Amino acid sequence: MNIQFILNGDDIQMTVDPADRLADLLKRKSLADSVHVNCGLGSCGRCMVICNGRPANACMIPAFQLRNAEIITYEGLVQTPEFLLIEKACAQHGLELCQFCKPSVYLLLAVLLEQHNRPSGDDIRQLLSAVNCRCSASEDIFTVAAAVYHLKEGRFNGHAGK
Amino acid sequence: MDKRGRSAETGLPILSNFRAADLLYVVTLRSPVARGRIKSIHIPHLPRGYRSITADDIPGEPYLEVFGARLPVLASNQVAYQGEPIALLVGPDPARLREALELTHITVEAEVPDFNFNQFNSERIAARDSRQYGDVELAFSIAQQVVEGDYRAAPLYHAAQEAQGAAAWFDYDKLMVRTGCQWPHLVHRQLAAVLKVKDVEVVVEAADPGTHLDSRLWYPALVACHAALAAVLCGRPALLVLSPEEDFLYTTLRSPVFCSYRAALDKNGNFSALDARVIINTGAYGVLADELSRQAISAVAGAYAVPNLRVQTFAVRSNLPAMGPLAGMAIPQVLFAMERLANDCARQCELDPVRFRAANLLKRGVDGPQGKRKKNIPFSQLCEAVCQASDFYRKHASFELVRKRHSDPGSNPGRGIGLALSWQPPAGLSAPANVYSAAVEVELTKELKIIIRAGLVPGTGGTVAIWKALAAEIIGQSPDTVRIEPVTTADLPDSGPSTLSAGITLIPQLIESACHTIRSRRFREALPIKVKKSLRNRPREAVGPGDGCAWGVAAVELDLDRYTGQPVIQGIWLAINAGHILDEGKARRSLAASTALALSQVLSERIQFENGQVGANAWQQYRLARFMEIPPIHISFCGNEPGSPAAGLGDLPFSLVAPALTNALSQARDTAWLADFAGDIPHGGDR
Ligand code: FES
Ligand code: FES
Repeated sequence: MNIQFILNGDDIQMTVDPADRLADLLKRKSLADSVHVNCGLGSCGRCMVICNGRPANACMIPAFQLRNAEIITYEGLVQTPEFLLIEKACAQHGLELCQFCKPSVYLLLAVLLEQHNRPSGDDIRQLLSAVNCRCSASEDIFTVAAAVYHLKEGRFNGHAGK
Repeated sequence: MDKRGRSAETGLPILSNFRAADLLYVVTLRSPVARGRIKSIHIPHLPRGYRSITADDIPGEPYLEVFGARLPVLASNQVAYQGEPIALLVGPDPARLREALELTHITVEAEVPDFNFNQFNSERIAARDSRQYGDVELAFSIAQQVVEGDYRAAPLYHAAQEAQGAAAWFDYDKLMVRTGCQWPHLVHRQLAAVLKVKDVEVVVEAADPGTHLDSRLWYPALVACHAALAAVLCGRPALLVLSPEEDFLYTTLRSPVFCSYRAALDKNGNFSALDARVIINTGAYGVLADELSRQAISAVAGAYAVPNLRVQTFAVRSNLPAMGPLAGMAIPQVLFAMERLANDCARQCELDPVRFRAANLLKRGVDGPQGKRKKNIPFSQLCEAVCQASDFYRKHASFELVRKRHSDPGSNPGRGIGLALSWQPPAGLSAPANVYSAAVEVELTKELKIIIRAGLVPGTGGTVAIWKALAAEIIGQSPDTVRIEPVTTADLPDSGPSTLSAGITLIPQLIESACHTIRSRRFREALPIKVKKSLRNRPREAVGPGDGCAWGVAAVELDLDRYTGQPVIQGIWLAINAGHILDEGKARRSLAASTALALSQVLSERIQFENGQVGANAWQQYRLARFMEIPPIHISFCGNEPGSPAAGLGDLPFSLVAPALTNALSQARDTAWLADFAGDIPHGGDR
């Protein structure tokens, strides 16, 4: 089966097996080292990508659903201004993420930045709980998520980077 | 991350991102039965560029020698657990390898497996230990009350951030092996023996083991040997990464433990004797049997004064996969039993659990299993902090009233609050005996850079940050000028396994001492200055709760859901005394994370067993608690005074949460749920 999709702004065409999932494709072709297949069951959240604007676990995206989809991975995110904003919030709060979770957490924070309505604390916890952090960073992730949203509001009010 | 895929924080690469030209993949052919004799292996014809590897292909020693056990690198005759590696298939396309795996046929003459470890014959005993003092029989004959209890701690899986695996490749005349392990030098020794090469011909490089909780203590040596055999026999780089399901089913689980206790109490409700039998299921081959047995005996009486004691421990082999230590070397399992017993005794004496514990505590100047105590256990200070914060006395008393009034648990949504007291030994003491020797080298270069070399895998970015800050502060430079050398066995000293809190307690001590030496020599000697410090291991006895331990008290409050009977946690309170805390924020976060993990282990990570072994769908049913589900965790610190020695504290929740929760559950007393929860080992959870 041939499919075509956009990965971090690049057109990708490939022949895939119908049983393949996006995580398999990205790993097999070394297209995104940031995607870690940890559980393969959609529960750990360490293979997070943004698929058509929504966060999704790459191990739970069947290859056939990729037709004409737009996928952003951490490698794509680092090219954007949102990435700098997130980096800044993490540094300010001393958030130390492990290298397995960092890409997924950053992508979720980027999704948060895209939201138009102010998210509640519960919304933030719900969203960020998609990554099953097992270390001491877990509580800090929520603090940083709230800070990221504030930084975004600051940016709209012309205070970003100050 | 740098060009070699190493993390900027820990200097460690991620194994599954390993890339190399002409890379070969390795898959494992496993035993279909738990016990039997291999009759034949039929591997389909493999295309050019593919090959199989069996025990006959191993150039050196066909066994691993780890922690007192010998296990086959590849089983050749007898299999001792389902999923035991029998052969490897190697080739360039993982999909074709998987197809070949499905077409492979192994015939094994099955024998009746032994899963049960409550009953065993002497052949299955891998280690035993005992201790006795006083006159136990006499104490029981005059006891006011006798309390008996069987307590079980179930096997547990630890879902680290990456499945186990290894990569192997050649760098000129050296074989390089990368694996996510806690102890690269142990892997190195096994590789040299199995491949029959000189030590200098193999270099082991640690990959990031993630939050390992001791699950990477020895198993990486096995997968490293598999990847290295493939690389050596095929002359090309090779990568073996287990599937998440393989990791769950066939690598090390926490040893299940069965404790049978009998306590004699005098008229004041004090322990007059304890008679205990502890059985540890080590799985196949009895890895760590001596160590688990030794540590279990040290914890058997908890923190309590027992004038007459008789205890026997048995580490028993079974046909489950070889087990591992998982956060605490059997100490949490045994402390769990003792804290459950303390609760049952308090109830039988109609004393509140705080008073019962306080009255029975080991005291200063009293002889305990580890000699005379120099200090009192800070129980009252810790207990007061927890009881005040949780309103323990009031809640416990009112839930007791409710419990006594409603004898039919079905008619009443139970409520309970439970308490537990526990300790964490200093890092060096909880590491395996006779193997530990921490060493660190610090160098101040001509360019005024500080380089730290420690053979110990730092674990987290937080640990690295502590090492850097410490060195920078003493030598008087910025932390940016400090570099941690990546952990390889090539020229770094063996610092032993990075178990428990060694990275937070022992290594900083050595860094501190090396940096002070550099500071004193700095303006008297030419740069570079290199200083090496080490801490030699000395043979140890089982020590029990010594004076250098960190102490903790926890309370857990819960309700039973009216419809499902499942416990709903209302709150967790912890008070900790770990001496001087280097960074209170980090310590608090570390404790909160361990508490969340411990809670997830008790409540949701139950492993489904079928016919004595892990069930076919257990991996699909295995579930980690989401962060959303974790209730508020309240932590307070006591005794955090500069000058008092720092003790590791991150593992305390693993021996506090389970007993406190189960004590709360026994008060909430929905018997239907309890029976299901406990089940028969290894079918259920902690009881
Ligand atoms: S690997 Fe995709 S969610 Fe865990
Ligand atoms: S950041 Fe990865 S487990 Fe916490």
